[in-house]
Amino acid sequence: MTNWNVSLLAPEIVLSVCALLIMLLDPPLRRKRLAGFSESVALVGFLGALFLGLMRIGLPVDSSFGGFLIADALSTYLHILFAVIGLSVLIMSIPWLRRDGVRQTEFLVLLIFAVIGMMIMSCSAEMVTMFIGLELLSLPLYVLAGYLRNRERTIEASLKYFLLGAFASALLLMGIALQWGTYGTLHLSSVAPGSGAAPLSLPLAAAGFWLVVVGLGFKVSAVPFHFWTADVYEGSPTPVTALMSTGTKAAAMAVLLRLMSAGFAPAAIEWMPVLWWLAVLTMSVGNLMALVQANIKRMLAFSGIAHAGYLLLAICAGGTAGNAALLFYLAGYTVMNLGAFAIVGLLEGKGERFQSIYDYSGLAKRNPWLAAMMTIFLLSLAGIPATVGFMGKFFIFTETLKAGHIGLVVIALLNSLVSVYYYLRVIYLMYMKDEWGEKPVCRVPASVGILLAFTTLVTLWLGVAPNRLLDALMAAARIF
Amino acid sequence: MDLYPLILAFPLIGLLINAVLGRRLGVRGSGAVASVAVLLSFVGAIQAFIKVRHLVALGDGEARLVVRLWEWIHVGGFSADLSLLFDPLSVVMILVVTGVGFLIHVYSIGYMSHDRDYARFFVYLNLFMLAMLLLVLGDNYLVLFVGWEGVGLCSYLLIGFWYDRMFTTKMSNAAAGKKAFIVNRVGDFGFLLALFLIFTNFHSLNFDTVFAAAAHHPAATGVMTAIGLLLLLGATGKSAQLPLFVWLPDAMAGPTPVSALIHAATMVTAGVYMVARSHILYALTPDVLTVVAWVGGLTAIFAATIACTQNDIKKVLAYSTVSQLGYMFLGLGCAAFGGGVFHVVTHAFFKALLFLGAGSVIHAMSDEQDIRRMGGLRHKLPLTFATFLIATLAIAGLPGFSGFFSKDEILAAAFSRQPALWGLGVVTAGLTSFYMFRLMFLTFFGKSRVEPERAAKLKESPPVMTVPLLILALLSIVGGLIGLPPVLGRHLLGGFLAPVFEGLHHIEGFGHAEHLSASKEWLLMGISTVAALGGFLLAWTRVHKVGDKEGLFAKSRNGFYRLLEDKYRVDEVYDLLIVRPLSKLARFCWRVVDELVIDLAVNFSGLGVRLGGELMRLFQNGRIQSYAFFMVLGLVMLLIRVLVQQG
Repeated sequence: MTNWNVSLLAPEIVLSVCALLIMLLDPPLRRKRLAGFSESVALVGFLGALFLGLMRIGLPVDSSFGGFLIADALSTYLHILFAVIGLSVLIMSIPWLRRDGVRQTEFLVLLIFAVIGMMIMSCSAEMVTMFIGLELLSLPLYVLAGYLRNRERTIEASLKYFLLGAFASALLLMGIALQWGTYGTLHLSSVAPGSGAAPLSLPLAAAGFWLVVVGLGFKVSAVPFHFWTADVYEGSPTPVTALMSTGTKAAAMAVLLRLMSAGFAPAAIEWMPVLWWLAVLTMSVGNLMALVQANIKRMLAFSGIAHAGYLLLAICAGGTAGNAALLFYLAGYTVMNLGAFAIVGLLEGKGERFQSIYDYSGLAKRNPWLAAMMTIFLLSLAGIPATVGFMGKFFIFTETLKAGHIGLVVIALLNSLVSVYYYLRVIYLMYMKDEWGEKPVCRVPASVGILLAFTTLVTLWLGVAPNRLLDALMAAARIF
Repeated sequence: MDLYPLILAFPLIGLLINAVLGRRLGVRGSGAVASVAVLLSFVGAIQAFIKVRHLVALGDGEARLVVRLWEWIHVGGFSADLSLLFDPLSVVMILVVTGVGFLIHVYSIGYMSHDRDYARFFVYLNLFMLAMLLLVLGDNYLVLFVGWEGVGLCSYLLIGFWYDRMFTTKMSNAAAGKKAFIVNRVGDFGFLLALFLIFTNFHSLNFDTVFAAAAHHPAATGVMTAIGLLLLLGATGKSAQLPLFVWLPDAMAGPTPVSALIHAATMVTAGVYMVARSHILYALTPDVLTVVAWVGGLTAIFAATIACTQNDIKKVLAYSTVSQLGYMFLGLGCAAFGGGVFHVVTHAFFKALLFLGAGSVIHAMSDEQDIRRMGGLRHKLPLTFATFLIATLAIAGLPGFSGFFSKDEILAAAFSRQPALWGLGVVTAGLTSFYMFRLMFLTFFGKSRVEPERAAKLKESPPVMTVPLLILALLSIVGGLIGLPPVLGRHLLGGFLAPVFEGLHHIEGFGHAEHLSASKEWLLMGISTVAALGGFLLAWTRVHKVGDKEGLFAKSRNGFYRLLEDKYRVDEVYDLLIVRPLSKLARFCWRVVDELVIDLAVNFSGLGVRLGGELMRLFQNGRIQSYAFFMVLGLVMLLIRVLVQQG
């Protein structure tokens, strides 16, 4: 019996309606100078999606559209996460749009569609649906990355992202095709068992699997599919960078998690060694590269790559607890990264001029609150106790250790050690150095202030009392 | 309304108010806030006393009130609550602490009136009261330890209160504070080890549990001895006994009210309190108790001899404090736990009075502390003189004054336990009398040796300072009446404290202490009186009579005298044996281990990591073709691996 339960898509539908409303109504309304209409609609859309996501907590597992979509605790959690990300990016982007005098209608619509794409990825139970979600996420991002079309760097970022992204999509699609050819099904949970053979025993199946992993690895910026990350993060408008570094990574990581711990879990013995190397490379290259960056967005880009490595560690750990650790880390990473990028967005000034880490010199004197919050985010990214970054790393490393990957944990710990250097360097500059050059006065809009307060509190709160979220995530970590 | 459960809250509130608003309140306002806070605590202490006395009078069960504030730590098998224990011992202590503390707070309003940092001063004082109450009232060793460290911190802060001044030509006030803190840390280290031993053996730090467990299932003798000795080490640190007494004389760098409150009347008695509290543990190890007695006895005479040669009014009092604390330990060591506590009480009265009197003199003398430049002050400072005289009579142990009774009780206990210790005590009593009258004569009698410009400003202190002196003088006279020897009447304090030391009766050798016969009692009292009078006469002939003749203050050729003047050169010995080697070792760790080995290793690995980053950077060349190439390369390597694995 085919189930067409549309209610599973409620958040996506609400967001789509809002996007359409903006597209249809903004041009006529703009002439009447009804400023703020589009922002309000987008805000309502994200809040609605967040609300609907929260409503779904605790409901039983359900599937719809002939099993193409699945509504389990994992997809509910990710819907909530993506709604929060969308909301935060919206809040960050409004002052930016005003500041740089950019047309906003399209920006908001593209943002909403990208978030819808993430949501679809998170609840797809099957590869083609997943691919559609991925493309729905990617296409708006290509445009968003180059949104300031009169700025060279942005265009370059957009083009690079598009070309390499298209390349990765092609690989992914190829992988999906090979899977279909081998197993005759694309359901994430049943690809392998359906064939009756050991999951990756056939060369074509294995090739298909790895092509899919590479396609997703591109999105989570796993080494060596990461080269685009720094250039694109640096060139894109900061709110877009925030969206890419949190949303895209979370969505692709969630699919990878479903893939590895559902359908292909029995083949773990075969993919584990490769994933081991991917994790090691991703962590190490990310951290080493972050060390030598002078642009804060590039630094955060490489730090994001390193964090993707820690997330891959959690996949290596596996098991319900390992998955829960991954999901917890995802929440923590999202929150602290959103906070950090919000501050970067505030401080870069009109035309995004001040993005060097040396522009942060003396920030503590100029703007003690921003400096304090940035310190908290950076400490959390470095994994210092009493922050969510520490707790997340602690859970992941513990689970990885329990799974027996001692070498992996040792390398990860060394990596965290290295990472402390470049995070602390910014803190050092903010507190120990005098201001460097003239800086415009940075006014913090109330909305961004609330966002920063929220992310700071969550960063600290989850660092001190992580148990409630972790317990809730244990449910989401049972993947079918 | 019962205030005693809130006894900790008052100083806390007081210090918060002063920390936030102190500067705006002015010295009187700020001092009033701090004093009222302590007064309220004192009222709470009186209420607790009345209740506990009622319970003692009922005579059944345990005479104690427990106020459980909150569960503090609960980890695994370990738990410690923040509970206040009001039993006769702790109630006596808090009465002294808050009562004397209140008087000193009031006195400080006058004494600190010219200091611009009065708010900080009162914050520290209230913080001290808070920590001291915590120390005394905690119902387990952990809370006691928190208070113990807290008073140590306050002591450090207050010794270095005038951190920008020099204490002596060689030592700054801040260094004096540091010395006190570090020497105390040595004791604290022993204390902490004792706590660990207690916990591993008795699985609790709660007084009741520990004592019950120790009495019924004592640990191995070695362990019990170690616990006793380590606790004693802690006590010698805080209570300035041999070998850790060296910090107390230098603690005189603090403002004089601080010397009175912390370094004479209350904090330094914390060690006495702790040993008295742990009496069961000590009773189970009689050998350790003997060590306690000898430490006390030797410290008493050791410090008393030094005090005979000092010329700084506060230094004399400081060594006299060390010596008197020695008496207390002597009492404890002779199993006269009640007697030790009794001397804590009387000593608090007369020693606080002496210090406050000295403070009054110093205040009047515009910060002059050298008794060689005083003399004849009794005419200018009549009230100070009168009260100081009373305190001197009390500490010298002349019959009728408070010190006489408490000292006598200790000496009696020492006599029945170990006559040699009694001998030490009697000689110390004579010395005490000598150095106190020497101080008295040089300061208040004879011709004035005051420098003219100071003499011009000489006048009696204001009532806010003299009224506390008068109250303390009264207490110094009558305070001894709470503990009359058996031949004279009832020992009120002993009766009150009896329930606390009840547990001793179950331990072999600590049954009811056999009372000395009346004739022996009289004899002992007579001998100590003679000793006191002897000391007085010696001071009269050797100091007062010699008086202003030249040569009194000339550098003595007598080697022993100079040794005393140099305080037996203990500081120098410690410096040579401990401080210098340690500091050499530290320099080695710094220059060689840290700067050469560790720094190089760290810098080298940092360099390596950076080079790695630079190397990686080569691949990040910004060209899309090479990015795609690396992607494909990665993919190909993946696929090759798959093929190898399957082929």
